[in-house]
Amino acid sequence: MKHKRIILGLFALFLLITSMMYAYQNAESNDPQIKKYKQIFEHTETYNNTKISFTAEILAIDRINQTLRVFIQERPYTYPQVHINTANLTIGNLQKGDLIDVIAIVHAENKMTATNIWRNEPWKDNLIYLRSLPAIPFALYLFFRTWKFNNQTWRFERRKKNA
Amino acid sequence: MPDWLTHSLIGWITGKTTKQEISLLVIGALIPDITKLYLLFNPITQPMTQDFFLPIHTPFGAILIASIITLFFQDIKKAFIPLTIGIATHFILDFFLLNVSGGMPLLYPFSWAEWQIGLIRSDDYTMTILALLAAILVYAFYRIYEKRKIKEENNG
Repeated sequence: MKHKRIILGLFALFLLITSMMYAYQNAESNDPQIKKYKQIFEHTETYNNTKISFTAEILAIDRINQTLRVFIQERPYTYPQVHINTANLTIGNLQKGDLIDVIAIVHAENKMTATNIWRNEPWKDNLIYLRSLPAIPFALYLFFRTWKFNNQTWRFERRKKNA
Repeated sequence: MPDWLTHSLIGWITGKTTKQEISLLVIGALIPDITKLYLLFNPITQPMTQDFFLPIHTPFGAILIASIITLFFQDIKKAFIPLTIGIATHFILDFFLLNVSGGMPLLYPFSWAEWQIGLIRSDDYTMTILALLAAILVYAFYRIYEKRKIKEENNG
């Protein structure tokens, strides 16, 4: 069939866009993590000793009692503020307003005990993007060293020295 | 995600050691991170845009993109295999990550369940350093091997 590739390409593109639209419409209602948060905060009594992990913003630090009051920075951003006991962890480097990643055990309504806390440092996030930059010329160099695009046939062809 | 450099270096190492088409394997290793396009959009609407681009960071979406790319090559099969291996290396690497907000929906669109092992945080650059060292080692090994081969051919 003359237009087999075009039909296959359009079909793959249609499937991709359909799946993207499906995710756009349903991701929030089907996300297992969001479902878990909702269950835990709506029925805390049945989720005692359940492990939970989330990103949160520190609203207050009680260094005497080793507790943090945090706002959970997870969708749909409507969870109640929680108190996190950090008795077994070092929180000396944490400040009010810091973003933290937390793994904790739920104990009572809006009360948890943290097993791990990591401070999200913006420079480390920026470094990911900086580290990613060299990959673009690297991948393009490898690709165009081996292949060239033929405008007439609309195909990539192997360069002669790499044939 | 580990950074793109780690993904491309692991793709390069895999291509070199499995004798697959390296250039396509490296491209394949970067395909799932096309999902990061959502970062170009307005920060307020980013969660929704992130949902829209989510399928690209799943085997289903990444393989669909690979299929579209292969249509621009003469031999579809020869292009599809290295692209798919590259995609596989991407998901294997991402599988080791610790993301407190959840793992990867590897079976999307058939299931929303998410998976991750949770060994390394995405901002940890140990993985990049290890990948860089491994790539240097593999490069050095192949340089020495090829030089010896040429020497033997000339002597023989």
